[in-house]
Amino acid sequence: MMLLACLASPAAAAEVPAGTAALPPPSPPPPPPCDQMPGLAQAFSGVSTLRAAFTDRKDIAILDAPLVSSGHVFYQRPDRLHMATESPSRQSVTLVGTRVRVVQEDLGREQAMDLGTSDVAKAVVANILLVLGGRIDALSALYRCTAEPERDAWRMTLVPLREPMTKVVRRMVVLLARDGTLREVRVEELDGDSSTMSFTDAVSNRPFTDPEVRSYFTP
Amino acid sequence: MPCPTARSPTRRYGPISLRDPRTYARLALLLLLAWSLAQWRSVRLETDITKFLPDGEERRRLALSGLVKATGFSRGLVIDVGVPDRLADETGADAAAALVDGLAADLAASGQFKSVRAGTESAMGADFQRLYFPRRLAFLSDAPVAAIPRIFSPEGLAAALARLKDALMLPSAPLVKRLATSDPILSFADLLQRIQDGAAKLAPRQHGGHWFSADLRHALVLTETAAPAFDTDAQQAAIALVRERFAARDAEAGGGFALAFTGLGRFVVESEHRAKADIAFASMASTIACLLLFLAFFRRLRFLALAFVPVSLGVAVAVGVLAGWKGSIHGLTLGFGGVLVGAGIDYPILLLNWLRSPPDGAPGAEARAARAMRRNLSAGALTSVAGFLVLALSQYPGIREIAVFCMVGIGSTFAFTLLFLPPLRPWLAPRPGQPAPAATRLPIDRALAALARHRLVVQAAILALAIASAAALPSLRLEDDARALDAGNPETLAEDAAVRSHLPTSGFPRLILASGADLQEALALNDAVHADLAARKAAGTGPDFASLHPFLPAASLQSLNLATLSALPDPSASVRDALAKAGFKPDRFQAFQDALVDAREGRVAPLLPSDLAGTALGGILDGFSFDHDGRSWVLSLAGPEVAPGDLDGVAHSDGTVMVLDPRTLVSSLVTSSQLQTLWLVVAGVLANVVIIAVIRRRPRLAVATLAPTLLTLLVVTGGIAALGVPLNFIHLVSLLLILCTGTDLGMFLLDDDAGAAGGVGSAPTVLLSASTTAASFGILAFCQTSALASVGVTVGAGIVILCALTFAIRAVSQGGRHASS
Repeated sequence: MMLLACLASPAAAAEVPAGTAALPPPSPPPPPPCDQMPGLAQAFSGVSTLRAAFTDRKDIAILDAPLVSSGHVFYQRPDRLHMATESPSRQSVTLVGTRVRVVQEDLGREQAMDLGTSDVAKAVVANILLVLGGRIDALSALYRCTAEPERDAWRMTLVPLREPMTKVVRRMVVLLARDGTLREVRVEELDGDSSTMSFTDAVSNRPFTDPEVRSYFTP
Repeated sequence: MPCPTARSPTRRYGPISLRDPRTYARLALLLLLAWSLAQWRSVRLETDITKFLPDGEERRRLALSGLVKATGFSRGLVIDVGVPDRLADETGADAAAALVDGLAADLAASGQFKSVRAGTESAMGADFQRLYFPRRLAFLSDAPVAAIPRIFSPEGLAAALARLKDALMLPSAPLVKRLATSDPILSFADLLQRIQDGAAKLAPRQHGGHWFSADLRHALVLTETAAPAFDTDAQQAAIALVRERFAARDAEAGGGFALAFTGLGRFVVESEHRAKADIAFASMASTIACLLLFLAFFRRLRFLALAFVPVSLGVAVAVGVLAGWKGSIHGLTLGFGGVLVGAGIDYPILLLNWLRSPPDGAPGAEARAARAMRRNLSAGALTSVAGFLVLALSQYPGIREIAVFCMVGIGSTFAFTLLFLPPLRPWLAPRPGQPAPAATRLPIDRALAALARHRLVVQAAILALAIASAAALPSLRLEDDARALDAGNPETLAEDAAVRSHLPTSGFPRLILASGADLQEALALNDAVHADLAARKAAGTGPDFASLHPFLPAASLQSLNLATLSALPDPSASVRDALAKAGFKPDRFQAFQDALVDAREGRVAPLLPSDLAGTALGGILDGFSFDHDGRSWVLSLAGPEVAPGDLDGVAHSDGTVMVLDPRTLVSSLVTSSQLQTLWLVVAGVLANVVIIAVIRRRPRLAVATLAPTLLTLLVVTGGIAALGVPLNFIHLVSLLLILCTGTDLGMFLLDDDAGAAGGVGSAPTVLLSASTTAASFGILAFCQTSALASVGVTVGAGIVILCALTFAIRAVSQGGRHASS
């Protein structure tokens, strides 16, 4: 709680090295808005649960090379998420509402926190949940959301409209299969860093058993 | 019919004479009364039951535990707003948060609250950052001499940077990244995590910046009243405001929200209400009972007024003496005082009855009766004062207060009776032809004669009662629950428990206090306590705990961190090498290199308590530290026992570190000195036995005088044991009251001279005396305060048994004499 509050505080933001935030503005996204794209809302909002493997690539300026990790993600509507990273190290993040538990198994560390005090942390997590939950209605209120069709998918571009996300994120790009399954989420930050999470072996709407709920979603 | 003037009252009780020593005694008594009444203006009523607990180390511990503020309960009121069932999940929490915001604003604007907090202050994160981030290298380790060289070794740096990479892979990477270039070893994140695991774990769950219970169904507000908890008027006003403003805000929010609150102030207000109600009830009911009994026996109101005046003045003097001595008087003492009317009224009743009885014309009978009357009144007062004098040696300050109150009250009543009533004899003496008082016509003598005819049966019954009572004694047990003495309102207690269960502090019931001559010394000792607790917890032998240490270690420890860092060979190169090897771009980390230089060159000052003053973090320090007895104290909280004696050895024998469990402390205090009180009561009984033996001179008469009292004490104690009621020190004081009353009854009822002298020792008068005492104390059984109810039941029943046994023994004794004659 306090940890995230401090990490996300204005003073912490002041520690961002000067010059790293200056990037050219994004080109205007093409129309139409997400809520006017036929079939998108119906497919996107139909996800109640999700199981998938993921590969995450982070391009961060302070590192010589991208950070690549992989693992599995489990989501249950509306606000439960479990991300288990299996490579290159084992660690997991469990989110229920605003409560978060991070377990770094290889380091033998575990910490629990509440996101209630940090607007930034809460916003970051809320956005992940809104995307996974297919909440186009809520996303449209927080982002300028546009969508363009691809061969067997939709590409949604989300540009934040209000703080605190406008201070952190330049835009998010979500690639969504026609059946509503997530394929990829790319987050571009204001400082030029980016993160691309690709999903494979996705299984949507298969209910979690009680043992799974206890295993994945206990904060 | 003898001449009423034969006793020549004007000779003995004539006009005021400066040569009469009684004139000076009366004057001194009136001056004492005037002084006492003057003291009443400044007297303060106490209701805290812990004031009754024994002096000594444990009482000091209790006082210390009362100063602990981290839990919030001693500072003011903890308000709990329950979410209605119709509002689910976060919708309900959001609605409660909105209501709480309005309520908090109302309370803050009233001026009756020093602080009203419904959540973590928004400036907390920024204040943490401002105060701690520049000092992060002063907080590197609790054992810096060993740890810091390890941290800055190539292996240590490689491990830290691997952790940083892991952290950058988490969804929180955008946040971690912000500090990475100035803190790649994650020292600030570690510090915040340690604080999170320490004092911050006592903070309730957050939702939208508001405090909530873990299930998000109760919004919580912590308030501190502007007035102290024992300012009952101010506390009452604050409580009324909370109720009124909540009702208004609840209506605005659509209704259905539930208000619960607790805090020391609420208990103080309710205790004082209870005490005042009990005092008023006991005084009023006991007075009415005495009035009715008096009217039933004597049918004359003027005698009633005369009987009450000495008692009332005696109580007035007792209150005045306590006020002058202590400046305060406890509610329980006043409860006793209210019924002292019933015990003290014996003297005026017996004297008045003698003064208004027709004189015996037999030669010498009148003088003999006067001597007997004075002797018996004096003996009654002397035995009572002696009993309470012994009790004044008790370790319980409250018992000492009651003892002084009773000694002064009974002594003053006796003095007022003996000095001011006899001169009224000309007005009281019966006129020629006036019928005997109604009381003397009661058929008690016939009843006694009937008992005397069956003396063997009576003796057998008394013996059986004594054996049965003695047989029950082994099952007697001492009270070990303080709540039995002053049980609060059950609804309030339930509400208190519910609110407490919604706060994380409920999981940390034990207190560990470290003290020092100043705050830095206490903080240094607290650092050692933290190390001890952490080692026990890590080994699985100690409980979970919350400590101030991670938040504010002693300045000496912080300085040692900085000094150890300065003593390292320049770490800049090894940091660069480690960054490069880990795949980071070293040039991006110049902020960290600059921070290392600042720390090594003395440009970083340790964090001091004064730095926290006036910031959003000041409340944390305030909640975990306080000054008392000229020393500074720092608090840690420990969870429930993981094994018996899991905190053994944490406390220091010199008292600089204490381990307290407030829940059991009061109860251990209650039981700790009860045995001593029991022995004091036994000593009081022995003192009475000696006094009666000296006064009676004849062993048979002394035994007859004492037998009813001693038997009654045995029967009452046996009855308490047989009923399974734990014996507490209030019961023991009650036994002493029975003893005092019993010796009075024995002196008067079993005195040949007094009886022969025309009614002083006559059965009806003694019956009236016993009835007023029994009624007065019996009324206490209906008090709300458990301790007073204990006295009421014990003494009320005891006096009835005492009366029956005294009359039975008189009957047996007379029957025996008649038989032998």
